[in-house]
Amino acid sequence: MKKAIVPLGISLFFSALAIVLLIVFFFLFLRGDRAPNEVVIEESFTAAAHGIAVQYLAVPVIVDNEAITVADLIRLWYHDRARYQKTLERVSLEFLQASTMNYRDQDGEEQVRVFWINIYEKLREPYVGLQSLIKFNQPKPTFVSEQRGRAVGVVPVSESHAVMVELWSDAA
Amino acid sequence: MSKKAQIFDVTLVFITLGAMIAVLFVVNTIASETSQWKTIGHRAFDLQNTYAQGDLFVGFMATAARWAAAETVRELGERGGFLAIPSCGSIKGFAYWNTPDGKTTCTPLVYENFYNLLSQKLEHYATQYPQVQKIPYEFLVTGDRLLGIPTIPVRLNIFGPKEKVVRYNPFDITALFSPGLYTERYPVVQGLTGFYVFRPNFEIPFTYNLDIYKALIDAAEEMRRICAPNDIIEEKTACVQKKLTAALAQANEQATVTVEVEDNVYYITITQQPRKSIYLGNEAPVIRFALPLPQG
Repeated sequence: MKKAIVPLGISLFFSALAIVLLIVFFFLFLRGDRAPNEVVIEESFTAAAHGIAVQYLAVPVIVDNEAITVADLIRLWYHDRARYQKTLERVSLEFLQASTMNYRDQDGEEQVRVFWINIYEKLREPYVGLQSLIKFNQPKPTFVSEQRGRAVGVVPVSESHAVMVELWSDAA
Repeated sequence: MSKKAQIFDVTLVFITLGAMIAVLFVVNTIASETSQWKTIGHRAFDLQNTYAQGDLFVGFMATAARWAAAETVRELGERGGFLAIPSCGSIKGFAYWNTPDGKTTCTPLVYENFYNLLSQKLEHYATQYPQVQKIPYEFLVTGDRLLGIPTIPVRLNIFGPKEKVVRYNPFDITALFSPGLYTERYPVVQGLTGFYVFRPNFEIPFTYNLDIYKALIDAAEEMRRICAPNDIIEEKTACVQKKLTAALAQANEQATVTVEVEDNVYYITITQQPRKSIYLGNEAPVIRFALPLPQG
């Protein structure tokens, strides 16, 4: 009788170990790669980029004593860069500076959310591809993080041509 | 329990454990492809982004309309207020406002032509926007505002860009044990989660004076009645100038009038000054028309 208790104990020990290991593996595997709030934060970059893009193109600006929008200014600049370059740069950098945001991430660490702009156009035939026309960074991102969002607005520069205003939201 | 039985018992426990871990691994391989995307708030962000895309499109159309309205004003003036071919024809690029015999008037329906030309231009502009169908607009000039009201709504698809559906093949054991290989062999399908339907209305400033045409059409009628019978060309030209100046004053429009005469046809150019808007560019818009004023 005494002999049977020892093997039973070993058996129970291994069974318990199996259950513990199973639970450990269960949590290791099914935890997922990333916590849900991290995914939400990443999504918020895209949403922020969209919101900022809408605002940027509608920012009022005084040009030649007339109130127009940044979208209109981009069109004027496209056709006369020497005349409107400085105004576009000033307005864009001021806007990006004002849009920069400090926040704390889920670990309580201080983060800076920055935005940057790339204006580009599709090349006309016979060329194929995209050509960047101007970029605005303020402050300049020190690195390109994995968490970033993008939105694209379109500005008509003529009846048959348009430029794309690409707005990135990034953590610096 | 014999020693063999003990060994068997322990081995069985480990085999069972290994099998369960393997099953968990496979389940996780499948689940990780889908579960991480189904995050709280993800669809809300998709919806928010789609709303923003709608706002970007409305902004695009409003920008296009501001420039298109100026281009339309300019082109309409150069065409003498007509949409395309003037009903009485044209001479030297000047649209006739009455027949060469001076008996029949053919004046333009300016507002109607303005709306039609603007609509054509906006359709061209809209083709620059990716993946947008043709949107017919109705317009209304009210005071110093131009309203654009689309007659059909725009539909934007709400894609969950990461709302992935993985096709599952339980028999492909090698792929199951390699997440990258699994995704490669069984590509994901992008999910359409809904639609956002809206009307891209816009309201833009409109500082151009289309009523100038009405004043000019009335003046042309007076010129036919009062100036045409005069057989002294200088007096007739002075009469035409006087009527045009009075018409512009009536329309509260500052403009310069240029009149050239050839074979009893008056070539009239109204140059609107000062510049009304930055959208018109540096060149002042003109209104050109030809008025045959034969004596008979």
